[in-house]
Amino acid sequence: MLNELVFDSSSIISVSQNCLMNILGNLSKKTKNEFRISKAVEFESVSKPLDINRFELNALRIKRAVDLGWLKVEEQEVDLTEIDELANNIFFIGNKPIKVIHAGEAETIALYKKINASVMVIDERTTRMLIEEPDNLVKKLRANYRKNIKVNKNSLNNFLSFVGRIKIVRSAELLAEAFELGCFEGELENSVKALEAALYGLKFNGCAVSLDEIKEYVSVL
Amino acid sequence: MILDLIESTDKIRIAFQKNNLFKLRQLSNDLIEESALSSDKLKAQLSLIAYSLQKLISKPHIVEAQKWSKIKNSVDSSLKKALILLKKKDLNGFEKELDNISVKVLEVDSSLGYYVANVYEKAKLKQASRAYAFGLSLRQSASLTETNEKDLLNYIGATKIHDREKDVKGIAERKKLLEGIFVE
Repeated sequence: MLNELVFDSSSIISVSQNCLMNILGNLSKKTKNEFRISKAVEFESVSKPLDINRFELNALRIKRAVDLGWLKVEEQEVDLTEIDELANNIFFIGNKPIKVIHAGEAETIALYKKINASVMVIDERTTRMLIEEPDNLVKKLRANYRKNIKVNKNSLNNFLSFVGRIKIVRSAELLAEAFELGCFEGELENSVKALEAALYGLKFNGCAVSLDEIKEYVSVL
Repeated sequence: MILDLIESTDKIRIAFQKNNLFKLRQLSNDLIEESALSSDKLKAQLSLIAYSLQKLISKPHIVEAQKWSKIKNSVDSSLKKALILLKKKDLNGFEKELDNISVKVLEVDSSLGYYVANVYEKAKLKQASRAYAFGLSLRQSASLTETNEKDLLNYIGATKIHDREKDVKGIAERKKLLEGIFVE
């Protein structure tokens, strides 16, 4: 059965910055799964940075994946209005809602829903927390801002039931899976050391994974 | 909202006049927090200006440069002008004046600074990462200070933000979500 994985820009950028795109390509080809990004992610990570010399190289790496066909761009517009409105009317300070996620992240969730994808790959932390552990997100907001941040439980429930159960992984888990399936070939040696290095690379390029998590994972391999 | 902006701009001007680094840093942090909660880009811009001014006056090679006092006066005039515009409720004019100040910061940095990456760009990253650490999403944080998402990811990756709060699942557990997905 073909599975579709939707990538947010944070995960695609983390992977491409570490020159690990070929490993993802191997994973996609070997398992015949489809890796997808929205039009907006394509614009933010390819079309726009192609004109900026500092970002051009990274954009070309992602473009190559698109050109080779293993990373597909969703051509149709995705309606993100409902998700954007629901997600950004959950937390309030006084009577004002706090906009916690951007249209870009909302669009990735919308695409996931639209194509009924199997997995969402997202390296940034807040969107994941909003979907998986909203109680911890509100605790975090309250602790950091030292303000009485209120939760509109209705909106939260509506958001959670609208998005449904989303399987979320980070690029770190995809790399770990690729390693197990022998997809490092042609790019890195197939050793635990190489996996560890790749995971550190992802972490230091912004993937929301901790050093302890990486150490814990590789210690049992 | 305008009253808040007037108060903050005035405080920045006074702290800058007095070379009060600590106060400028504190104002910058307070403003980015307020702007994150209200999605107020003007407050975010003020935060970046306070941060950049604090950085500039912390560098001896800048404040000891011959042209510094002229630059300082010019920034001070712009802050005064920004205040007048705010009092007239001219938010567009205020925003343009903030843009002028950021251009002045860029000019100081490019003529007297040592690095290619300028202090204003660093301020954008620093304060966007603060907004992210406090609970906004990556792109929302990047959009607040109008910084690049890739740069922000790099910046965050070099901090301990993701080490302070571990993922509830961890790699092994989260990887289990992929069971049955990658079948050869």
